[in-house]
Order: sequence, then C-alpha cells, then structure tokens
Amino acid sequence: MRCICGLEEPDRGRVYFSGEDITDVPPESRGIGLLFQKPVLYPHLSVSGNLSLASSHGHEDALEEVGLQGLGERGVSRLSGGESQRLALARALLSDPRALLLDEPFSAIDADLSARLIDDVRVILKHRGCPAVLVTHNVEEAENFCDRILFMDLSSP
Amino acid sequence: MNFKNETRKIGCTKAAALTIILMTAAVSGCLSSESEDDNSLVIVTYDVYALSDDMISTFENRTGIEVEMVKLDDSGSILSYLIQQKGTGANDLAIGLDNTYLQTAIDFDLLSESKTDIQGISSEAYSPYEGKLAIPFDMGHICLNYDSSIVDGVNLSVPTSLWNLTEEEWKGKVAIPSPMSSSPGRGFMLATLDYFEYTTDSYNGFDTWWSSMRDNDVIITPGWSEAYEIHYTGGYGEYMPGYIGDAHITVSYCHSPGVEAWYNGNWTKSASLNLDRASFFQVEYASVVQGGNAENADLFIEYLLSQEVNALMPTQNMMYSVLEGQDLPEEGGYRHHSIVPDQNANITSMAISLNIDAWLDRWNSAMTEGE
Amino acid sequence: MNDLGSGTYRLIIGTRTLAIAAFLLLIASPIALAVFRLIGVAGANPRAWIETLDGNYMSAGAIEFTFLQSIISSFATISLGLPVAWMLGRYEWRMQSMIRAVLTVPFVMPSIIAAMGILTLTGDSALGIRSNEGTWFWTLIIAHAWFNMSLVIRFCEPILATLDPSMEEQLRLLPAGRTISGRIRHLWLPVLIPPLSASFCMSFVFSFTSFALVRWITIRDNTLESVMAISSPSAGIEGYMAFTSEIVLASSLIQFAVLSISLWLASRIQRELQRQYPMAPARVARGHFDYGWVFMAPALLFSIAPIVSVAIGSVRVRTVESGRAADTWSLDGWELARDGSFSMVPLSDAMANSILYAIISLAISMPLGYCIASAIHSLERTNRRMSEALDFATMAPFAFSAAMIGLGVTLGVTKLDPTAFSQFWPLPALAHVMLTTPFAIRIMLTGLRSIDREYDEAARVLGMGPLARLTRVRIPLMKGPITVAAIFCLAMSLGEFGASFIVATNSDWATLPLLADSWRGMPMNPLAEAASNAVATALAVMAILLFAVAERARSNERGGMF
Repeated sequence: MRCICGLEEPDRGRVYFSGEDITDVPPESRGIGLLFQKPVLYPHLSVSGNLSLASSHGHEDALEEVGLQGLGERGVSRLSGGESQRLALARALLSDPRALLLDEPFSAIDADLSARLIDDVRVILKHRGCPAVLVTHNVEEAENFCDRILFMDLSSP
Repeated sequence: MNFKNETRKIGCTKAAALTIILMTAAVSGCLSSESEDDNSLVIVTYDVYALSDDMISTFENRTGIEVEMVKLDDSGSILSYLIQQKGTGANDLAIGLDNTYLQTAIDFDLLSESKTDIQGISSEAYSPYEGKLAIPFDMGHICLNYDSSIVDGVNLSVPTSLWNLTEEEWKGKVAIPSPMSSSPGRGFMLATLDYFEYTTDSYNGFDTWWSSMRDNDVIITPGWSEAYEIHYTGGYGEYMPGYIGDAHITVSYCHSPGVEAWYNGNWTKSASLNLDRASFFQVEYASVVQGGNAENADLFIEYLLSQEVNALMPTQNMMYSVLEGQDLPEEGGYRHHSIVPDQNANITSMAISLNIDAWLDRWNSAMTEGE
Repeated sequence: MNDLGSGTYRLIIGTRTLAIAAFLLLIASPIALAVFRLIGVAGANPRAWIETLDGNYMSAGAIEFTFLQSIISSFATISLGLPVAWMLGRYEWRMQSMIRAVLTVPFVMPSIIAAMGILTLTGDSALGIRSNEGTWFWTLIIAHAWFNMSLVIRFCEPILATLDPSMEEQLRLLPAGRTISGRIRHLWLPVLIPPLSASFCMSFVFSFTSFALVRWITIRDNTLESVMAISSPSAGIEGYMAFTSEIVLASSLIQFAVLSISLWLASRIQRELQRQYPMAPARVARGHFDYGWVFMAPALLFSIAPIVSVAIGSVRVRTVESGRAADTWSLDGWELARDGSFSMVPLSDAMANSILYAIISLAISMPLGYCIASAIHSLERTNRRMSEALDFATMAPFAFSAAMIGLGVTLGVTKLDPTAFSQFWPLPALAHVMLTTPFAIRIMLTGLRSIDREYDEAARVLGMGPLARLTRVRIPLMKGPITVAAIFCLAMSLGEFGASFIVATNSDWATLPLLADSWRGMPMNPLAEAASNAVATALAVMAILLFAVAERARSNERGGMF
C-alpha cells in the first residue's frame, strides 16, 4: 500500500496506474489518497485548518459529506475517534484523489461505529466514482465494503 | 533507491562547487570593500586606558582621520598578531609593545622608522632603546610591593636582600606572577638575573634563589591580577571577590602604592621595596607598522606624545609620562607613595630577545628540578 | 526521483549539503590553520609536546588536575541536579516556566561573571567559605555544579514529567515493583540512565574546558584550558618562547582526544539506550507536594544567588578613607558603565552590539541548524553511519579550545583579508555561529525526531510539495523546538565570551561580556568592579527575560533535550 502511494520505494517491480508507470513519481504528485490506520490530524490546526491542507475551499461541503457539518472551527484534539477518521476521509476526498487507499482505517473504532462508517465511506466513494483499495484483517468488513476481494496469505510459499 | 543516491551525488558535487564559489564571493565581496584609505588609521593595541573615546575623537576631529582600534590581550598578543599579519599592510600603528618584546618585533622586521621629531622625551625613556623604530609613550618600574602594616619590623622584617624571602618567616607569603604569562612577572624575573649576577659570587645565584623560593612555598600565579588581587594583603584586593590574602609581598609597579593612595584619599599600607637591581624598568612603545600608513601613524604618535595627552598618563593609564619634566601628581599622595628605584636591573632589549627562551627555560628548571 | 519533483529535491539536497559543507568548513579550517602554524614552530613530535607540558612549572600536573576536577564536578552536578529535576518533573509548581527559566540562567552566564558571583558569595563578606587552601577545591566543584546543573534538569526533567503514569502504576502492582528500590531498579534507572549519562558527559566536557572559574577560584592548579590561555599569547611565534607552542599543542591534543571520546560516548549512549517509553499526551498532573518549596527554594536560591550578588555588587562601591574601608551604595558604577571611559565603550554601545550579533547569529544558525538537523534526521533512515558521523561532527566545536579556535580564526581571516579585524564588523557573529549552531542542531533534531513520520506522509499523499510541507506542516509542528532553539541561540550569543574575546578585535565591537571583562580587568580603580557588575547585571536581566519568553512559548510542548 505504501508502495502504491509512493511513500515506500519497491525493491523490485514497477507501479502502474491506469497503464502509466508511476514508480518514480513522488507521492505528492501521484494523486493517490491514503487513510492511515490511526487518522493523522495536525494538532496545530483546527478541523478546517486540516482541510485547508488539501484545498482552500469547499470545506463545508466536504464536512457535510462525511457528516461533520458545523465542526469547522473545532480543535482536532476534541474530536472522537470516529470523527477523527471522518475528518481524515473528508480531507483525503477534498484533495480529489484519483484513487483512495485505506489502511485499516476502521480497526481502531468500535464495531457499531465502524459498521456505519464503512457504509458511509462506501456510499461516498461510489457516488464520486473513486476507486479504492482497503486493507483489512476483518473478512466481514471486506465483504461489506468491497466489490472485489484479494486474499493475501503469507504462510504459504 | 539507486536513483535517489544518484540524485544525492549530483547534489553533492554541485553543492561543493557552489560552496566554494559562494564563500569566496561572500568573503572577497564583503571584506575587501574598505581597505587602503588615506583617511584611516588602524591601531593595534591592548587595553591601554589612555586611549579613551574622548581622546580618540579629539584626534579624529582635528585631523579628519578615522581611527579603528584592534584591541588584543596584551603586549605579547600584539607581537604575535603583527607577525601573523606581516606584509599585509592592514595595520598602521602598534601601541603597547614593551621593551621585553620590542627587539623581537624589530628582528622580525615588523616596524618602520617614525619620521616624527618629538622634542622633550626624557633620556630615561630612551634608555632601553634609542632608535626610531619605536617611540616611548609611557613607562614604569617593576618591583616588589609589600604590606607595610605587616612587614613592619615586628611581625615581619623588611627584606634587605632577595635572599631574605627564602627564609622561614616568608614561607608561603610571597606571590609572584609567572614570567611565562605575565609581563610584570617577566620583568621581575629578568631583574633577578641581573640582581644575582651582581650580588652572588657563583653563577648559580638565580637558579638557587628561585629553587629556594619554590621550597619556601612561593605562590606563582598566571597573571598580575591574581597575585595582587587574590593573594596580596597590601592592596585593594581585600575588597575584591575571591580575596585570600596569604601573601604580604608581591610584584607590581614601584608607583602602585601611589595609585592605591590616589584612589584611597592619600592612604595606603602598600609600599615599594627599593632594592638595587631587583627592579625592572619597563617602557611601552608606539611603533609605525611596516607597510602601513606611516603618515597617519606619525600624526597619532605626535598627538600621543603631546603635553595634553601624555601628561595625563599617571591618572589615565597609571603609568609615568615619558615627557621631560613630567612627574606623578602630588594630589592624593600619588607621588609621595611612589618610589623611583636607585638602581634598576641592567638588561638590554637585545639581550632579552636573544636569551628569553633560555632564561625562561632556566627559570623553569629551577622551579621544577629536585622537587 | 522523477521529472516533476527532482528540481525541488535537488535543491533541498543541495541546500543541505551546502549547509553541512559550510559549517564543517567554518569549524575545520581555522583548526587546521592553527595546528599547522603551531607545528611549524614546535615541530611535529607529540611526545615532545607532552613532555614540555608536563615539565613546565606552570602546566605540570594540569592533566591530572583537569581530569580530577572534571570528574568530581560532573558527579556533583548530577547529585545536585537530579533531585531538582525530579521535583520539577514529578510535581506541579506555580510559575513552572519561570522556575525553569531561573534554573537555566546559570548556564548562559558568562563564566567570568559566574566566577565573580560565586567568589562574592563564598567570600568573606558573605558565606566566608573560600578563604584558604583547604576550601578552594570544593568552591570550584560547587561553581561547576552551579554552572552545569541546568544540563541535568534539561535532560532529565522532560521524561520525568511526561512518562505515562501507567508505567509506574502497573509496576506497583507487580511483585518486583512493590518497593521503592524495586521501582527505581526496574523503571527509573533504565528510564533515567540515558539522559543522566548524557548530562554527565556534557558537564564533564564543560568542566574539562572550564577557564574563567578555574583561573579565579583555584590557587595553584591549572586545567589544560587555562594552561592554553596563559600560553597562547606567545604561541606560534617562531623563535620566541617556542615552548608555549608545544604546550598549546599538547593541551589541545589531549583535550581534543578526551572530549571527542566523551561526546561520542554521550551521543552513543543516547542512541543505544534511548527506548521509546510511552509518553502521556501532555504533562501529567501529579498534584502538589506540600513541602516541595523546602526543596525548591534552596535550589532556586542556589541558582540565583551568585547573580544577585553580582547585581548587589553593581551598586556597592568601596571607599577607603585613611585606612578605613566602607561600602557605600551608589549608582556610580552604573553611571561609569553607562558613559564609558578609559578605553571602554558605553554600556548602550555594548548592548547594541550584543543584540546585533545575537540577531545575526540567530539568522544564520537557525536555518543552518535546521538544514543540518533535517539532513541528519533523514539520513538516519537511509544511511545510519553517515548520520552518526555528522551528528558527532556538529558537536566538534565543543571539543576545541577557545585558544585554538582563536589562533586559527586569526590566521584564516588574515589569509582571506587582513583588514577584516578592523573593518568587517560581522566577524564576531561568525564566531557565535560556530557555537550556537550545534545547539540549534541538537534541539531541532530532537524536535524532528519527535514529529510522527505519518504527519509528513499524510501531507505528501494530500499532494503537498516539499516547500508546502516545510512551511505548513513541519515548521508549525516544530514551533516549540524552534522557539527554544532561537532563544537559546540568542542567549548563548549574548553570553558568549571566549571566542568573541579573540575575534571582536575592533574596540567598537565590544559585547556585554567583553565589556564586563574589560572593566573587571581594570586594576586599582574602585569603580571598575561596580561598573563590571553593572554590565553583567544588564546581561543577566536580558538572559532571564529571554528564557522566560522561551519557557512560555514551549510550555505546552513536550520536553525536548532543552
């Protein structure tokens, strides 16, 4: 996943996106969004300050899209776990990615909440037509979220 | 991965080249903007208190010359600075070389003759050096000072010979600045060379005396101020932080008690010891630096030796004026408490320059051997 | 990388390389010049140098004394500093930032002022404990502990204050941690050993190179640094007192070897033993300690008393009438310092110079320090050896003596442009940069390490370029360390003495510490000491204000190295 978005360089092999070799493109130029396992929010910025790192406008719409309307001025330390991940999602979507990578973003949130969030994210992504890759250990989560599932089993050679 | 390293390599080479170019440019661009200028005078000196802001600005106003002062640590630092900068023409005038360093400066060909014709400099001031490569501007005698309230003939007797100081009653009560690092200390050591050559039959008087002093727990300090302010009981040291007060005799100027009195309302318990050949006559010089602006340097030398400036040496610089007919002021007991030794040690600048290494070596051996 | 980003990347890497090259050049070239000059005079025989050093009356025994006093000083520093760090870190205090500021002030005091303050305090007019051969040694040790105590506090207090309380709570419930000694053995010792050994090494380094304190407090002994200081005026002159060149070379050699080893050890220990302990998100409130002030008040008093005694000294003037000495209280010393006289510049000039040089060195050493710190930081992932080497090399200015650097700078600048000593007024700031940059690097490196890598990665996948990440993510996240580094640079530069003494050659460039020293060095005049104290007081007030501001700025940050 980190190779896809460019944070890690592959030891061998190339990364192609829509047929284009992007192996040597720095991550900031790939246009691929990433949601970390634990949402990475900048403590020195407010909610909308964090959004402004992706785009200078459209904050309200973005917040509404993830169900955080009206929280623009709130400090990020006062968000709950689910809200934080929603904000991270809003920020990732605001930068209008060509694809979104999700690195177990729901694992740190309790079951009820994550089920709702998974639905919401799926709807939003479908609505935008944005392809996404989700990495998860949770088969149920994968089944709820994904159109196609790839199993990776490292125990077999 | 490889590609990344490649980038770094390219960056390195480029950056290294760029560094050199930038630094050269910056340095040459910034530094050489002002250089040779008819209207400037660069003086190399140390904390010579006579060179006050007022004094300098009077000179600047009268002559239109702009004075820049390079202030170093002491006389020795001036010498080594001039050697390092030899041939650069960056300096015009050196103020503060004394007769223990002068000949070395001359040997290194650092100075050029002054064209001034200053009348009225006392023959005494010319006695260590009579040429034109250095013009005396102040002077003083280095000798032993003692605390007359303790060295009163009852508690301790006033020494009549340096040998007295090797006796039991003076054990641990003598503080002498090191000849290695202090200019009064060096002057005093030079004086002892002459003193023992005259007063002792054997050649070894100097060595024996210093060894005996060591055995008598003489306190050797790095500089004059440690000896005088920390250890000496006779001076203002007792009011200074760090005072210990274990020595009743030390090395200073013969007019130091006069300065003490002058600051203390005509009172001092410090007195100078008038022992033949146990004092060293020190003269400080102003010298035109070779390759510098000799004309402006001479103008400043003339000003420094004018009555209005040089007569103030005793109060401004705590040294004697070199002008004929000038003496220490009577005010505050300055002159009354100062002595002029009857007979200074006779050591020429030439001899100092030739032998200083050997003498210091001898001093060191005397202080360390057979411990 | 690819076409899109490579320009910017090359620029960044180029800038970093340039910064490192410039800094190393700034340090290495003067040293090389000095060494060559001295070897030219003394010959290239290290054995002979050391024999001369050991055989000279003024320097014999300096090696042993230097080791002895610096080892004892470092132990004393730890034993005084650790309890204070504990108290400060484990309990809540009113005016916490002010307390920390006051405890840090000794470290930035020019050492001559420190010496005078300690001597006044221990002298006959106050405590009366330093009056003979038997007590001066311990006075020196206490003086060094006073000077270096803040190192221990700065290194140890942050981890004490922010360690996740559950670490201790859990241990209390386990058999091994039921007793205090058990908790010390299983938790506090492992936690504290890295910062403790680092602060031990640093105070060893500072005591080893101590000069002014040694010069004024010891009676007969010399450290290698003070030996160098008294030998250096005549060192490097061919055929004139050549043995002084040998002594300087021998002292430098030993000093460099010893200090390199201890600095290397310090950074090694920190790397090896530094484990990531879980930190509480902010300071953990631990409640008040009812009798805390019984411990804290003496510590504060200890920190501030020498400075207070200097301040008192600035308004106390001794007058002697017919052998009776009396102290009178007057502002004469302040007036003399204000107006300037003899060869001394007015106080306001020195203050302006000090501020100007501090700002210049800040403007250079902050970006320089940031570039080098981020280079070291990013190399930590790709080339660990290189990053360790760089990390160590940037500490080098601490391992060289002022005398050596001074000689080298003189020779180097003479080669470039001999008129610089009278004409090129920014020269002293360059000397300050040599000393402030290593601190800037240390502080910012700690800051960079504490930034979660994901912050940067998240910014990258949001499409932010290197410049945008620097200005919008890194710098705002580093606000605390950057402020502390900035204030530290300012304070270090304001208090810097050894290097300025050598390069602030034009008398118009005198800074506050130089002016204080000049006044202190003026003999006989009773007002000179008061004037010196006045200048030092002005300096101390500036330093305290700066630190209070710094502490305020970082009060809600996690602690770093400083």
